[in-house]
Formats: sequence, structure tokens, C-alpha cells
Amino acid sequence: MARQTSLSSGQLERSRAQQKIWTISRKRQVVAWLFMLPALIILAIFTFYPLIYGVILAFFENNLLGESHFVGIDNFTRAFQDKDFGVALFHSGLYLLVVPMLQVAAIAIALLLNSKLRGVTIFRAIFYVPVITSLVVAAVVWKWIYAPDYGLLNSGIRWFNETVTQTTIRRFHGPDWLNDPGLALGSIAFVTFWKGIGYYMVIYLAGLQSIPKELEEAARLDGARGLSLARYVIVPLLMPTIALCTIMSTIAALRVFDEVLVMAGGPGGNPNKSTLVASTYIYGRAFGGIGGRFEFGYAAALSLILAAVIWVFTLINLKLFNKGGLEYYS
Amino acid sequence: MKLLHARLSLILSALILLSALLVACGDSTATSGAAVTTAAVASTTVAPTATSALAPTVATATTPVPVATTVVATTAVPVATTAVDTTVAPVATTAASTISTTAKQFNDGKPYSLTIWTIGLKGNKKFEDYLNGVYDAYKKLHPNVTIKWEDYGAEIDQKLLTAVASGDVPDVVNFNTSYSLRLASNGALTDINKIIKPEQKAAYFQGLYETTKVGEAVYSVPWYASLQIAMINKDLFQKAGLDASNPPKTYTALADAAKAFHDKTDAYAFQPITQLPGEALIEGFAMLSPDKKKSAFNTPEALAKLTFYENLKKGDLIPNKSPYSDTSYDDALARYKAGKLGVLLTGASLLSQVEKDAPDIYKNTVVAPAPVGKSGLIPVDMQGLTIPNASKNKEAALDFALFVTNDANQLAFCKLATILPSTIKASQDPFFQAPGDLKQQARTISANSLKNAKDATVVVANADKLQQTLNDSLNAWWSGSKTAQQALDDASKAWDDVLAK
Repeated sequence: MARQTSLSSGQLERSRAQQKIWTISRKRQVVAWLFMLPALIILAIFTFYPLIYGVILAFFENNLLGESHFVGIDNFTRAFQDKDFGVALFHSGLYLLVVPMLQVAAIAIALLLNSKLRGVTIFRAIFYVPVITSLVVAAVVWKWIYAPDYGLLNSGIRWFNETVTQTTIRRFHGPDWLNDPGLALGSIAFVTFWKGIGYYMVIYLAGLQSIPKELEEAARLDGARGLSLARYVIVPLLMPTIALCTIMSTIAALRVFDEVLVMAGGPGGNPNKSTLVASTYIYGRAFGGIGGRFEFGYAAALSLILAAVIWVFTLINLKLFNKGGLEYYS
Repeated sequence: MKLLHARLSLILSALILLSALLVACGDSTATSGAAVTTAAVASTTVAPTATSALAPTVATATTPVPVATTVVATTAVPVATTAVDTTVAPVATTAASTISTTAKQFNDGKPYSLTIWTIGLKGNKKFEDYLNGVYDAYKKLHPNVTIKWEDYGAEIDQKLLTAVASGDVPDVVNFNTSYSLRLASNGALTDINKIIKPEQKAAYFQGLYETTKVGEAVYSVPWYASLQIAMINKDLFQKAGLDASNPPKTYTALADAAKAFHDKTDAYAFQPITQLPGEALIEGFAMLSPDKKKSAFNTPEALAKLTFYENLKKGDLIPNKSPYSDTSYDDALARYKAGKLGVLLTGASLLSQVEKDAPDIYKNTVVAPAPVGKSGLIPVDMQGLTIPNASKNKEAALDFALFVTNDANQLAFCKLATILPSTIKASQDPFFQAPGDLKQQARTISANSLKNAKDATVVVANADKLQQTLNDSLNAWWSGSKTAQQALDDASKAWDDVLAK
């Protein structure tokens, strides 16, 4: 009996202690929720609500001016027959070429800037400047750099021709970067590249600094140098960071908007639809820049399709980069 | 397990919040929701921000003479007309005092408010003072009114959409012709013709009043106009061995100048930027059949004009930039500002921008009438005041729009910028003929051409769609994948299809 009592008192104590922990953790939870509340409210209003409304809108014909009626999946069937949207999606797909270039360049620069050279912080700052520049401002400046005949880039080419190669062409016309259907999208993509490099570089710098020094030292003792050090130690350990950056830049590339809109001079994909990308096309459809009607329902349907495409690419990325980090060695 | 719990509760609470929000929105869900979604549709794609940079391009994309009001925004340089400052306010008040005896009161004498939206006029003190003066004068006539003034860039049409969706609608909105038509064809604007009186209509040039006429409806009260003139780079003309004081008066003469420029300079004499409807106006062929049910531009005249440009392009006599691309106008302006273009065909209001961005080129600029084609007509870009369908005070809104655009107020406005009035009486003021600086000369030149001015915008319900198919086809011709005749054939067929719907 006595044994039982002592047992039960032990149980009681334990449960009391548990209760105490429970109340503490509960209190902490309430506090945590309170802290999260403002952000959640903002998220609910500006993310979840528009998101859900956008999905609903995709099944309606709606011009925001009061005309709205249910059309079932018409918007989606129309989207799959819409040649221009196909072209736009294809160009968004092409834009993905920026991703590997951006990542390789960002890793290379991060490796260079990870050393303890003098003045390295200045270079870090220089590479980061484009990131904090407004994208629209940058696009306007780049438009001027790319201008035909009188643009900075073509003036440079002309100067190079005249002074270095000693060839003078009286009426020199350099490449028309933003006006040649074969060059325009690439020229715009370079601005995305230029602007993104600093951003990813900083993330890679952080990733590099989190690599345990012992592993690198051990590899050096084993004779790893330069490329082999990068190949067998640094890159595998950097894999989680690479995955993160690749996914982020894939998403960014698929929904690229500002630089294309500014440099192509509107959503029309000038010249000859060669710069038509998914986001500008959706924007043009919604706000009348393409087709002249305000087709918010159709634009919402197109947005959903774009979201699905992004989702697929993200899954592919996750599949490709799921190995790495310290697990690589286990 | 704990993690799962935390995640579940997060999702749950988000849902609760969401439903609370939906309940809170109640009946207004449909409208306020739509307003948020506008942001959502754009925000997945990041909405454009720098309107001042985008404005000229966007606003001019479909207009024949790309002279956007938005440009006025960037022309912060005050027009050098002395005595203007002192005359502005009195003119407005004089206007007020003459009408005050007949001023009709609205809203049964109870307080009401009118909201007016303009494009690119705030931020320039001269324009601000001027418009505030006009509003004050109107308030003296209508003591019960409160006037709210908002100003936007090229995104003004999007703003109107969201305003209509949210129910907080302006009463008077400034749009150029193509924006007015776009919104009208989506059912957003009031038919002015139904509420205006014949004697009120008679104050405006008939051609300008009918700029936005679709069928029997008119969607805009004409405000100010910007006419195509020729800005000429004196130095370049001299280098090419040409006389800037006797500039080309026809397109044939322009082509000769182009040859001289090609042989003697590294610049171009001119750059075509006029859209086909503008060319149709200049050369005197129609874009549409009289009943507006079929295309009419597939003519030898149109083919001749395209062939004319094609030959110039082949000889490197004009820049290889399609006039029908969204950026052709920007390109020509930038080229002129860089001193690489002999003649810029543009609206006179653009002089201020050249003065600000390229003062050296401005000093070296003379102005002349734009070259003419067979018709002798000159394209004009109109700005008007529209009344949204959702406005609660349409009658008062029209009264206010008529006041802003009356003779005295327009004349005072014209003294501040290189623009022209849409009312007959104001345009006859001796001020337009007075001698003066470059801008005053431009003003005189364009005032003298006003009688030959016409807005070339194709005015039908699907104008945007037509413009787009036309430009797609012409761009294909320019890049060499279609012959000029093919481009005209394809475009006219596409137009017939759209118009038949």
C-alpha cells in the first residue's frame, strides 16, 4: 500500500512538473503567436486572400469594372490554345539559361572574395551595389548603354575598332542590342545576371564561411589543391546553399518582369515578340496592354499556369540538389 | 510530432484569420477583393514603379504622334514667357467672374466633392499653381464643392480600374485618345454627347471634339493638343551642306536630305516614327471603310509609303528601327538628344525635355512646320477630360470639365507650356502669333497648323487589337520576313476579321 502511495506521489510530482513545463511552454506559445500575429495579418491580407481570390478569379471573366461571370475552365482551355502565351512561356524557359551562369559566376566571385586579401571588402561592396539599385533605374540606364550608334556599349566598340584594330568605319553601326530580335532577350538577361550576381555572391560567401575549416585543412593535408579542393570539398559542402540559390534564381527567372517591361518599352515583347515573357504577357492581358481588354480572369488563369510551371521546376531543382552538405561524406 | 503540431496550428490559425477577414469583408467582398487582386495579379510579377521613365513609352505605344502628356511631367523647365506668372491667376478669375452670374449649382445646394485626376502635372510648380488657381475660381462659382486633385503617370488607367473596383471613383479623369478609347471600349466611361448641350459643344474645334467619337458617342472633353512640328539640328544640317532655315517641307525633300546626311555625316537626317494611321492621315488614305466595318488601308498609297521607307532603309538613309515598334519614339528622341538625328518630328511640348536633357542640342535647334504629304494634314495628339461611368456626380463633373477647358483657362495654360487649346476662341488669341523664343516660335507654327490638325487614332471599339495586329504585321515586314504587300494583305485581313466580330 505504502509502496503504492509513494509510487503515486512520484507520479503526481512528475505530472506536476510536466504540467509546469506545459504551462510554461503554453505561455511561450501564446507569446510566440502574439509576435507572429502582425506578420500573419499582413500575410493573410496581402498574400493568402489575393492568392485564394486569384484562384477563384481564374474561373471567371472579369474586367474589374463590374462585369463578372463564371466561365468554368474556359480561361484554361483558351490559355492552352494561346500561341502568344506559348511563345512567352518559351522565352521564360530560355531565360532560365541565366540561372547556371549566375550561380557559377557567383560561386567563383565568392571564392575569390572569401580570401583575406587587402581591400576585399571594397570589392564585396562593389559587387553588391547593383543589388541595392532599383531595378527600374538600372534598366533605364542599361537601355542607354545598349542604345544603337550612340549608346555607351557601341561607342566603346567603335573606339576599340578605331584605336586598337585601326579600322575606321565612317558610318559605324554596332549591334542593335535591344532592337535585334536575336539579341534583345539575351541583352536583357545580361542585366538580370549583372544585378543578381552580388545577391547570390553574398549568400555563397555566408555558405563558404560556414564550411568547417578542419575539413578544408584535412583535405589540404591530403594533397587537395585548387580545382580538386573545390570539386571534392567546397562544392559538396556548399550544396545546400547552391540548392537554395538555384531554386530562388529559377523562380526569379521564370517570373522576370521589371527589366523586360522597361527595356522592351512595354508588355508587347518588342521587337517582334522576341522579348515576350510570361509575366509581361500576363500583365499585358490584365491591364489591356495586350489586346486592349482588361482580362483579369484570363490573366489569373495564366498566373496559375505559370505558378504550376514554377512548381515543376522547383521540384526538379530539389531532386537535382538534394544531396550535399555534411551528409555528403556519410 | 511537435513540429507537425506547430505546423498544423500555423495553418489553422492562418485559415481562421482568413475566414475572419472574409466575414469582415462581408458583402463588399466582391469589389474590395477585386481591388486587392489587381495588386496580386501584378505582384506575382512585380508592378512597374518608375512611371516617369515608362510613361512616354507606354503612353505613346499606340498613338500616332507620340506626344504624351506624361512628357509634360518631365519637362520641369519653366517656359520662359515673362508676365505669365502675373497673368495666370487673373485670367482664371476673370473667367470666373464672367460666368458667375449663370453658374448652376449642383447637389441641391448641399456640399459635394469632385475628384479630378491628371497626368503628370503635379510636381511642376507652374502647373500646380495654375491648376489650383482654376480650382479656386471654380469653387468661387460653386461654394458647395470641394475639389480633390490627384495626379498619376502612365499607370493612370490601371489606377482607374482599381478605383472603380473599390468604389472610390474620380469624377473627372485626364486621358489621351488611345487611353480614352481603351477604357470606353471596356465600358468605363460616360458618353459626353448625351449630357453636353449643343452650345457648350460649339466652343471646341469640331474635329478635336470628335477625337473620341465612336458611333454617336463621344467619350472625352478635348483639353489641350500637341501638334507635330519639326525640330532641326542646325549644326548637322550645316555639316550635310543643307540650309536649316529652309528645311524639307515634304517627305520627298526629306529623302533628299537623308542622302546628303548619309554622304557627309555619320548621322541620319530623320527617323520615321509615325504609325500607319498617322501615315494614312498625312498621305490621305483611309484606314477604315466609311461604315467602319472593313479595313481600307490596303492601297497603292500605303504600299508606296512602305516602299519609300524600305528603299531608305536599304540605303542606310534612315535608322534600322521599325517605326511600329513600342520603342521607336523613344529611340528617335534619344538619337536627337545625342546629336545623331537631323530632324525630329514630334510634338512641340517635347522642346522642354530636349532643353532639360540636352541643353547643347537645344541651343542648336530651330523649329519648322512638320513636312506634309498629299493631304496636307498634320497629326495631333489630344488630351481630354473624361467622366467615369461610376462617377456619382456626372452632371457636376461635366460642368467642372467644361470649366477647366474653357477659353480663358486654356489660354492661361497654353502660356505655361508649348501646347495648344482645343477651343476656337482661345486659339485666336494674339498671344499665339507674338514673336518670341524657340518655344514661342513652335507655338506659333503649331497654332497656324491647328486648322489642318487631326488626331489619327483609329476610333473603333477594338482599336487596341487592330493597332496590335497591324504593328505585328508591319514589324514582320520591317525585319524582312514579309514583303510590304504581304504585310498589308495580312494586316487588312486580320482587321476585317476583328471588325466582323
